[in-house]
Amino acid sequence: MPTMSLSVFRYDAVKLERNTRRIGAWMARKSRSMADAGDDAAEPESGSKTNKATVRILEVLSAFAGDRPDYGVTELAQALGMTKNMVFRAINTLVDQGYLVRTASGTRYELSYRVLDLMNPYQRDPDLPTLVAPFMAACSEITGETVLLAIRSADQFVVIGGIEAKADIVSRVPLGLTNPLHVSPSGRAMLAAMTDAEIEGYLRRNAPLRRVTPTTITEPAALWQEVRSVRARGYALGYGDSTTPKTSIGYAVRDAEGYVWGAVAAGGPAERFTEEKLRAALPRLNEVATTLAARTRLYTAVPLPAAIG
Amino acid sequence: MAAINTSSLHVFQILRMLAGAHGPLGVTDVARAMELSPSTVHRALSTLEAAGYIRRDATTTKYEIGLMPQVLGRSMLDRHPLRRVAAPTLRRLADASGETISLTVRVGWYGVRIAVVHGASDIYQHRRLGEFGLLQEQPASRVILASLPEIEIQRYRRFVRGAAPAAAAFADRAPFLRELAAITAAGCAIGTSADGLGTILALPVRGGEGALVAAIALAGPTVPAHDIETDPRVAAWRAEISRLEADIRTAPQHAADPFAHIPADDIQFTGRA
Repeated sequence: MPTMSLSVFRYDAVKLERNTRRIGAWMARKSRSMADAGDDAAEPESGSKTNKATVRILEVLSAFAGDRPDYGVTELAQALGMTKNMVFRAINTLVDQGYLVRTASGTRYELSYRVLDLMNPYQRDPDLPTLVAPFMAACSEITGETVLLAIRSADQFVVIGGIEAKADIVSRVPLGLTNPLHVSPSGRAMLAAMTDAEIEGYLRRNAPLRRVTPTTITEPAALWQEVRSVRARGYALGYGDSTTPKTSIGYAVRDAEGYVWGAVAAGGPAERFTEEKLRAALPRLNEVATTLAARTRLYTAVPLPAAIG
Repeated sequence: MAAINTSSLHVFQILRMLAGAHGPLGVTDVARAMELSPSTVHRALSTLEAAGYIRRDATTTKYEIGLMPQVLGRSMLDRHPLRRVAAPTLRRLADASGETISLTVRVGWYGVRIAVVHGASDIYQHRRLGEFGLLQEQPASRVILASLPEIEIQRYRRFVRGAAPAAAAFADRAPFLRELAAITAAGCAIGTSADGLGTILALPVRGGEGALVAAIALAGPTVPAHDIETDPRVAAWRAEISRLEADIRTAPQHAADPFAHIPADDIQFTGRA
């Protein structure tokens, strides 16, 4: 059986932050081109469909939605690929509108309490598929393979959505497929994201571990080894869990309380989605996963009602 | 001061309109309300949609607020360290009571709900994260208001008279002061949810030197509205909160106010205040 032997990518914290902002800007441009492409508006317009200067202002504001509490003009210009002048003008408008304020030091900017004015009181929280959609689209674009979303349900996970790749031979999105957490990259990514105590609890409740495919890890010691591997890398890899040789990778998704909510996984036929291709895609996939983590950390998963009895 | 692009202004006005809308709005709805041409409105809506601030409903082709404003709001709320520090306490209260738990802090003369944790009950009380209002409006922010020194309460009344004259009518009457005194005496404030089905019980969270840093509210159908002093559940909840208070006493930075450098009178929310 072919084994995966990819080296661990170590991430420089500064580089990761910069890359995270770049992916944010990339996704903003992507969504813009997607919006333009999909919009066959019948409105006769003399000018362009969107106001470029205003789009820039909104992109600057969006930059403050990440992990960083504040930004300086130069940093923003670098992160967003704009001139300092553009950024400065955008910031002026945003400060004037009340959405940004100067920090206590006076040289940087941060989100103002007035952004709460923009939160619609009648809007419900997005569900996991809605939150994750742009990131799944990004993964699909990067790998060219099928991407699926699994949600955790106690000691199992359920596949609740996905984007099937546009090729003749593809990996299927098995809607409704349920598996224990120690099975498949989706499950193993989620398991590794849980605490040691939670994993011990899982092992206690589910011993002996069920074998679902020929390569399912059923020995607790081997599973702990895998958990350590996944934690070191930040993702889980597939070990030929399906009948046809397949390359797959999974990332766990957590909420604001650190609860393991679900996982996003990408996979396809090993003949096309080779080890090299996956290795080449890893930096961008990791960036997408980091940005997704920053997003889902802002929300709380709805707790499942406890079983009676 | 650089001249601001008019179309940028329109875009923000339209965004705020959608942020306050009860349902999706179409180009004509917005154009009529804002007295702008449909093509201007359409351009603004396309811009906002492209940037992820609004989304178009596929079936009705009307627009509603999108994900970005929510994400921005939550990012701003995350600047309060108390949100993370109090999270385990809120979760334990939610698990113990089965109801919705929220954490409110003071921002200027307003109370802002900076955290909401739901219990696992089938029927639950929805409390909006990021909801803000003058300190007199909600039980949790009333608990905070009641704890302020006399001179601060006077400043509050002056602010309300200037910023929200309709609300000032309440703040200027004797019952207002009597209620604040009652809250201080009871060490809690009680209210009913908007539809009258659930009770809201707000408890103080004290920091160092006894000043309130926040208030925690429990809201839902099983929250008690009477006999608060003798209810053992309430005693257990207060005990849970006192553990959080102990943490804050040893690490005051956990309750740091990210807007402390802005004078209270300078903080004003537009529209819905």
